[in-house]
Amino acid sequence: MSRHASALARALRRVPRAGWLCAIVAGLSAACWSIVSPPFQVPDEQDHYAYVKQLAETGRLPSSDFEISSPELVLTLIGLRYNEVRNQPRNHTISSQAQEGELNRDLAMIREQPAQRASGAAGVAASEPPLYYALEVGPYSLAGTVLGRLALMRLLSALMAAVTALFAFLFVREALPRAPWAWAIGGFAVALAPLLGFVSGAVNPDAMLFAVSAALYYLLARAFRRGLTRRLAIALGAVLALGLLTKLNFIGLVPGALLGVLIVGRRAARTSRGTAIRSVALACCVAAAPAVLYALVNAVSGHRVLGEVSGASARTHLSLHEISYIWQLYLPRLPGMANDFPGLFTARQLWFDGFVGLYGWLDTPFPGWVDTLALIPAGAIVLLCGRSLLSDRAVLLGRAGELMVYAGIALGLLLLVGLDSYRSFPATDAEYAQVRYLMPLLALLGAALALAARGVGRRWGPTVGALIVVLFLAHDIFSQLQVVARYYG
Amino acid sequence: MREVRAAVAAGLAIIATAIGLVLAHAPEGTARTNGVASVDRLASVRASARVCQSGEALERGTSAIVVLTSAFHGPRVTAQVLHGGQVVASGHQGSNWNGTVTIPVKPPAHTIEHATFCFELSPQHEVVSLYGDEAPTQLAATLNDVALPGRVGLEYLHVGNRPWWSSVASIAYHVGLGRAFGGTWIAFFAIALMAAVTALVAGFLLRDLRDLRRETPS
Repeated sequence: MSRHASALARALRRVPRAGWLCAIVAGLSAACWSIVSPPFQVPDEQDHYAYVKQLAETGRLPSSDFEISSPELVLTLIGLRYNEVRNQPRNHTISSQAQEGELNRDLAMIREQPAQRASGAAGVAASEPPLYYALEVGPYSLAGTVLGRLALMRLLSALMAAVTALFAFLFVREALPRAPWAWAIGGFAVALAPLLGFVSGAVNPDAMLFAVSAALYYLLARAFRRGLTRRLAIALGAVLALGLLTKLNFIGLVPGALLGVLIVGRRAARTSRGTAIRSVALACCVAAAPAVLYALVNAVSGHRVLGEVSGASARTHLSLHEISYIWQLYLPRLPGMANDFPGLFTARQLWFDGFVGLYGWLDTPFPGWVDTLALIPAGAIVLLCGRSLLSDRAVLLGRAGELMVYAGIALGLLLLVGLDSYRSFPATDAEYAQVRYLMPLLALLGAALALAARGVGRRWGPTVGALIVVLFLAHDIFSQLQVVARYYG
Repeated sequence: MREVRAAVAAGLAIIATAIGLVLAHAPEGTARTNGVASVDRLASVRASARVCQSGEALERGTSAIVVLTSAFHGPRVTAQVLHGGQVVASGHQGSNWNGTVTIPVKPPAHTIEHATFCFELSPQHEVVSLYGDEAPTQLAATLNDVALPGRVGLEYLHVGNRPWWSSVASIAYHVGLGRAFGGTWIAFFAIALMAAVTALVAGFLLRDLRDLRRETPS
């Protein structure tokens, strides 16, 4: 054990100072978001809170997706004017001492009553795996009121933002080893991405999903660069297992990641076939262990073997319309496709504008001119990134397998979001077309931004890189000001 | 590295100037409503639809009209305010709005009483719900010339007179309410956190980026 601990300590000591700075910046930014976002005015936060309450107070998983929750939570939501504020951008959070006094009196009254057990309901969170929620039991137990617990739980999520930024930095370091200055550009840009702060400044398993996904990208990049060792195989398997225990969306990343394990395994087989096979098997066994355990528990208890994903896993093919819908969810419609999004330019309006800023309960955007203005730096970054890729095309060809894996992971996630959205179509055009669902790809964003900075050449690269970081800093600051104006103005 | 220093300094100066400009700008707020509460769902619309409602008043200085709707990715909306058969104000909102829809209009120079407010939803698949309250048929809104069971709730927005900076103290007070660790100090703590973030980032870019660049092989 101590050998592993000292190996970990050595590995941590090898992380450059810039990596730690990225982590600190991401943690502080998310902590600030945890203050700026009013309690429960972040998508589904009340359901995630209810899940943690259920685990903390009963030790059991939620048993229903009803949204009716404990009297304590309901009274808090009423006291905070939750329903009046949510989706009604001109309504602000409580604004007077009298309203706060009323909230505090209600909460004090609840505390004086006999303890209310959690109801077992956790709304949309009920079907999610338990790891993130189990970790949140710690901060939950440290405070005595809903608001106190929520504040501490949000801080744990903010810590996960720091982990995300650290792994994004490390990924860029492995992916672009010859440009140390560019690692920091990618790392800082990820650390300052407002959506990372917004989601990680709230109680939401996405915060941990981002961190685990960034770690997955880092480990794969390390395996591609340095080869698949036994230790790395275990780490990859463990990260895959952690991801599967964190949020169901991680399933979208698994096929691409497994392809990566197979490719690095095949390369390792050139040196030692037996060691390579053992490493790949080890990674797969560690990754599958929680899923197998989960299936066994379900089988023994008479539930569907794969729980929530049973229905999805039974599907063997996509219909033509599903393919057309998923295509149009991200890209312009092709001739012959039925128009599933009339009047909506999905790539721009759903994804780009969503990345520029859509906070609160998706009810706090920037004014339209900001989205339009943002096209200028975004276009410049895309062009520079393209230029960098073009000039490195010889190197890229040699790393085609690695790039295919990164793209495969991204495609798996895009497909998953598309399939989920299709389930509620046409009642809702695109229920899951929210950029936060693509944030597991943050490490790729970091690499793309580092490439963009390199795209101007060696002389001007650091200057453009510094401008990109300042741009993301500005984006973070003005996003928070937008949220302040919406809820407290 | 003079270029990096100049870029960081210029970037931070632009951020500071932009914050100053934002603070000097007066926010838009609800000046009045049409008195219709969001009690009932009056209609759910999927295809293109034109909704009209008489008996509205557009006050001088109105900069936007909010229609009490509900949608996840709302369609493009065009609106007109009519008086005596003439269009006296108009505006539009692009698609992909969420919840209620806010339609900016050119502020009229004088108040227009007894106006008819009409808005048109572009066709799309997603359902848009209209909210309001019951009203007699003669006063009710119409959907494609058919009377709805009531009137649609509207809010009229004005650009205020007081700039953001004059409200900084009240916003800081407001941020501190409804929290476990409440008090105005928490707003200043949040500012301190972002100041620390800015200092760390700027410090790194100005100092450490130079050393990392030296490590880069040519």
